[in-house]
Amino acid sequence: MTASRRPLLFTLALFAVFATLPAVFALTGWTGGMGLATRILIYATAVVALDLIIGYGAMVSFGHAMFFGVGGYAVAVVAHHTGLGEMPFGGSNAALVVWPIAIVVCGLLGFVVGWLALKTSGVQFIMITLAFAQMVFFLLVSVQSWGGDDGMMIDRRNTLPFVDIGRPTTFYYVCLAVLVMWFAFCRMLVNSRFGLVLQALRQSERRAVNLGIAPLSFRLATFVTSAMGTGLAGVLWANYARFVSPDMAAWTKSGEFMAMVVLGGLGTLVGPIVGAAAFVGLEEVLSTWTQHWMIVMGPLLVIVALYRRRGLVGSFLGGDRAH
Amino acid sequence: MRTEPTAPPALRIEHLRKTFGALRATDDVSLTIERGELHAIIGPNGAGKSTLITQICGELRPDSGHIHLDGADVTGLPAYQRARLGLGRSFQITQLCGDFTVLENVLLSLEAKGGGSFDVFRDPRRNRFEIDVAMEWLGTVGLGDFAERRASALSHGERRQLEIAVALARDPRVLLLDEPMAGMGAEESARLAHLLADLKGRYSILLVEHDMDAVFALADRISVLVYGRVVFTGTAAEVRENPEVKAAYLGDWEC
Amino acid sequence: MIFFLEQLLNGLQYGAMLFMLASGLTLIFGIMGVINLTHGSFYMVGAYSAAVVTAATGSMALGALAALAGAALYGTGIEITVIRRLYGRDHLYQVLATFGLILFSNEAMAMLVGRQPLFMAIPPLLAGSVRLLPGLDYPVIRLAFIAVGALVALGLWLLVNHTRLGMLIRAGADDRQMVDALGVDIGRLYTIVFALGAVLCGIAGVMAAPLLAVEIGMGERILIAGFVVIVVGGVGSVRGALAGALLIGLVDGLGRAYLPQIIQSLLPPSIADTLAAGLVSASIYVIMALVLLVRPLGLFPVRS
Repeated sequence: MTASRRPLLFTLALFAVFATLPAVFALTGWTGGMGLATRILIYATAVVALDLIIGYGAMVSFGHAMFFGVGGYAVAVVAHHTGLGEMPFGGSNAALVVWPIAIVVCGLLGFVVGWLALKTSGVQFIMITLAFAQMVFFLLVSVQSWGGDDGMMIDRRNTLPFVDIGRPTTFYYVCLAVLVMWFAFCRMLVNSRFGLVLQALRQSERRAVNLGIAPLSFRLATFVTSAMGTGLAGVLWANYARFVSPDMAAWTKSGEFMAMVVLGGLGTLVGPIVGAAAFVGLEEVLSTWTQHWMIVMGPLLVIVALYRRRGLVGSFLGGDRAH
Repeated sequence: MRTEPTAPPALRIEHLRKTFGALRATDDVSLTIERGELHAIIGPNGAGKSTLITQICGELRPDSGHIHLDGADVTGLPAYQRARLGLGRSFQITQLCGDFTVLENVLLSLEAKGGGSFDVFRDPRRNRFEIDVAMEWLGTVGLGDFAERRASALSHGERRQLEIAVALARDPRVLLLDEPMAGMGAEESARLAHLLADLKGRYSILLVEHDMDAVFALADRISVLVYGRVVFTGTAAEVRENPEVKAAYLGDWEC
Repeated sequence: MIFFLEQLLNGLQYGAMLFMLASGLTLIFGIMGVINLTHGSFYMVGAYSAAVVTAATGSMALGALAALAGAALYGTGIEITVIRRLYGRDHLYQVLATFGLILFSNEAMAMLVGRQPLFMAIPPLLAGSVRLLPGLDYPVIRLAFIAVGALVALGLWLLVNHTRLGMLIRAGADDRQMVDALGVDIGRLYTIVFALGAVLCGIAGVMAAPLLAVEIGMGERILIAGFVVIVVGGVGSVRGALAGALLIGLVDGLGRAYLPQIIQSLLPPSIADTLAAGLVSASIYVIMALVLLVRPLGLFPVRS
């Protein structure tokens, strides 16, 4: 209802910048830029999904990397068993087949985890989501036929009709398109009738319940949606790196996602995209400067948590959200 | 055999009991709110008024006894189902969505009436019909000019007005008002009393209130709650005259 | 039977170590309302201090002292510089800030000591085994650590229930206003409790140094197990931390010993071998999920 058009304009400008980046890299001849920018887009997709549940649903998931990992593994596993000729219907390498499968798997996992975890709240919710992520992590580590600790290589990327995502630039634009569509969907969701109820539950559960809202179904639906979005990011990551490992589901990855959300601006959807860019970019810059880059990154996160609780762009985007 | 009355009371509470350890917070409370009646509950602090309200709206389960809403037994239903069946309430400590605008708070009430929607496509802020309904209620409680303001930016009195608009917007069958005038200035209280007088007769209202002037002026009937028990129910005049009430309680008025 | 007893003792010893960590974690959460991920780092600092000082001086007693001092100093320093500003804040920011501190602590330790894991020799006094039962020889050092765990648990119980500090701690957990009314400097109380938690981590670090590899990342492994313990036990309750630590310790110990056999008897070997290792590692998380589903606030919920 805030009349400000600032968030929308900012978002459009941000996407415009992303759209021109490949041209900039081509002009400047910076070869590493494309990979970096692609990683940013993929993480951005994941953390927009995380912002949906933390920023709008007040569900602080400390295990979201499990969906990132499972999404990635779904791609690798389908490719692996298709290669071995073990898949029903002969398997497939088509993105339009594999990606929906991966997303549905993440949705189902999200449903089970969310349904169980939402029986708790507060610190227990944080910890039970972490616990489920650890279970996923250790299961991935233990499955030797899927590479165990070492993870799995993927021979080639999935195929899309009309475009060749084997080319870095094309793949970059596919990632950008996915992010834009996912972002638009999330934005529509939080501004919808559903989103109104979801945000009411965040602000005053008691009020919402006394108006006739059954909290679980709204929270669970959001959690599942978010799980699918994070799984989609995992799908893209598997295609980007052509490699998956249990580290995709490690708890540190969940922590990094959370850091990106807060770094950019909690509860703004576009802020976390900035957060992902800042985090991944900083990691890149610092690690060329010193191998001990975490000695700088760690305190930076502390400072953001202590003094910039609305993140890099939260205040700029306006609104008086109390956090 | 007695004939059943054609319309059951809006709210009927039968032999409600709730104990916390040795404390009898609600001790065999029975009362009815007839359709269109404004029924007030008064009593000293610690009399169990809040405990009673939380049981009626379903946040707390009674140990025994029954609650009927419009003739239907709702004792076992969770709070959100009672709300959907037409129980509206305002809170003693205002429970509003502070990040939402005033209008959005009322829109939420309209949306939640049917349990909320899973529609992720339509923006309720663009629903002309609901906005018109919401604005009408905001006008009724005197907040028509504040529709676009954030609820967290409202004054204490304005928040209380918004609480009532939120409760009213859903056209409740029974309206529970939990100390709506607490902490209000004299002028605001008077305005609210005026509003309640206006609503009286059109809604079935259970009013818990400390402001005795308002209660005696507004209530059709008054129940006096002391130590979890209803010691007397009657009209304002009867309550004033009742020796039992005086003996048990009158030295202990607090406003 | 002998094998079972041995595994039971191993579980007990792991439980004792978990309790050192979890009791501090639960006190800090119960009293200050802070989720402190840095707790594992105090344990790491303790273990490194013990290993380095013992290697330099040849005395494990000095090493142990260094561990307690190191953990206490680091913990207090962290409280004063960062944690203090997190009281009353949303859990999300506490998680983020202390996550940042973990990154910092790990990297700082790597820069100071290097990434090579350290191993600490067991001092002669605690070396060797003792015969508990015919056929059951058990390492002295593990028995000693079980005893230390029991002593610390007893000491904590006395502290919380029979001292002025303990009364303040209990009051602080229940009723902040009362502590204020007593005219106690709540900031100092918090610092003391935090330092106490760090010292307990130091003890756990001493226990870990001779038995496990002292390495970067050791703190997070036990930290997550510690969180499982306090969530299972009931966040804020020392009693719950003890029960949770014993439960998780035993589940882990016995799970490692028996779960592979059980799975092999139930499933075809190709699947069983694959799953067993993962399920052993995941078993404590399964327990936690089960407990939370039945009792969302843990086994010994603290009344709010």
